[in-house]
Amino acid sequence: MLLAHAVTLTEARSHVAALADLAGTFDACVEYERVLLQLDGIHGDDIPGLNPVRTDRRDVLFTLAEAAIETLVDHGVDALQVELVLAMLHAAHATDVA
Amino acid sequence: MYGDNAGQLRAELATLLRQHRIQQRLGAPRTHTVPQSTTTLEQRQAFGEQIHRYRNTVLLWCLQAVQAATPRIDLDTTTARSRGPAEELRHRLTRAVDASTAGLPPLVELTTGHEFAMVETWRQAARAAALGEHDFDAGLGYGRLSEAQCMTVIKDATEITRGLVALDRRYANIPGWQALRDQAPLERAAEACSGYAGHGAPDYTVDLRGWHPQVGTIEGPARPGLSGVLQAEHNLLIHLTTFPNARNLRLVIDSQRVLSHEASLRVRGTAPALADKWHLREQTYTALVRETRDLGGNVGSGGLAAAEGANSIRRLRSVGSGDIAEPKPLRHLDRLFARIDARVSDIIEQGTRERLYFLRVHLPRVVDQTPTLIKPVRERYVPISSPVQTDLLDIVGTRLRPPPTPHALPPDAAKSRGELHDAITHRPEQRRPDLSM
Repeated sequence: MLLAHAVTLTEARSHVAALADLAGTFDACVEYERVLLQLDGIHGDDIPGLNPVRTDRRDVLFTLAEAAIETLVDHGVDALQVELVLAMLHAAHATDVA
Repeated sequence: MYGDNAGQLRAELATLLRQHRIQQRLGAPRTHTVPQSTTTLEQRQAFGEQIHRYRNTVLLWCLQAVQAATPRIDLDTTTARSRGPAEELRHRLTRAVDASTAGLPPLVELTTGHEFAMVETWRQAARAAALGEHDFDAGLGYGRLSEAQCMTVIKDATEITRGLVALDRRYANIPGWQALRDQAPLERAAEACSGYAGHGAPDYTVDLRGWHPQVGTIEGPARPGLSGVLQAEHNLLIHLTTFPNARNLRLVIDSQRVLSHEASLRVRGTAPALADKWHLREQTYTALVRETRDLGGNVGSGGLAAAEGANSIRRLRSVGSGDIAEPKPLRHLDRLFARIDARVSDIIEQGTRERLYFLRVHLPRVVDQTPTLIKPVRERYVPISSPVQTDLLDIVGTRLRPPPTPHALPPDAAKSRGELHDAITHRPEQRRPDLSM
């Protein structure tokens, strides 16, 4: 894995994990955790560790996570897999704000 | 289990010890006024040889029981003065087994019923002894048993040996009967060892040890209602006997978190104590989910366990709160939860101890020393037990692992042993009235 890919993946993982920790409901927390597990599953066991995030605002975290996941396509990750992850992220977000 | 096999052995031996007039039980003439016999001399000799083979199996069990419950020492250079009670009994049993020329019964003799009740009882005793041999290799050995459990096993062996010696004297008139070698020293050694082993309080929990049949998964379509959840959780527990890799462990942990949450909501009205307990479990697994986000480890499988976890969630979500009326399935579910918690604790501790699981450290840096044009990223993994991070082991040790459950004593352990002892020491009823003044 190249450095740029690792940076993007770290950003995506860290923001999704923060969303899971700050989720308003249990179901939303579970959905965000599933997104994280799906991201990790796409990359096998070759993933970097989490970084602390700079904000606790869920809307900002969601935007940053979405952008990072979309950028993964530029690093060679299968586009269909990325779309599935994005769909799961949106579903989790919908559960959270509902 | 040891309790089942040894219990059956004692029961059959007690039945034999209460039988007298041995020849008549093999078809010999009954009285001088009724001289007809149903078997010939040669047939009774064949029966005797068959009983002899069955007796050898039981004698071998006694020897293996004493060997399992005593330390392994070489008795060849010892003398009667230097051997303790258990070693002396082991020595005498070894000599008796080595001296026997009849051999062991073939499989067909162990599995085919006999027309004469006495021989059939011997067959059942030999069958129990043959099955009981598996217990000594399955966790019933010196070093794995407590001192009290060892003494209980030795006491059982001495009582059965005393029974065999009593029967040996009673069967002396069977045509072609071979007596036990050194019968009197063997009996004295058994009586001395019985006093030695019976000195302290017995520990009948040894009856729960030994060989158990391997538990399998519950196959077939999903069962309706809560039974389907129990089915999936049981299968998950069975599949967790295989060490899972880090990803599948995370999936299992996540599934248990969701399951605890959903189950707690559904029993809140009917079993509030259980709901609180499962809510605590949900919080424990939530903490585990957070701590295992950076967990890595390629060794292992665990895909089937993760799949059963997903099955459990799906089936529980189709069960409404009103569908859970009986407390028994909830007790089963709670017991399964506890066993899964214990197994997950074991897995994480094993992964930590054997360095099968690692934790990723933050952002890796570029490796500058490689000769290639594009510099790859350096990956760093550290053992979980390093002082750098994590509350994972603390959570496992203090919150996840359930308290040990005390094993209930088998209900008829003492009664079974008492019945054999009574059978050994009983005297036959007098056939003629007492003519004393």
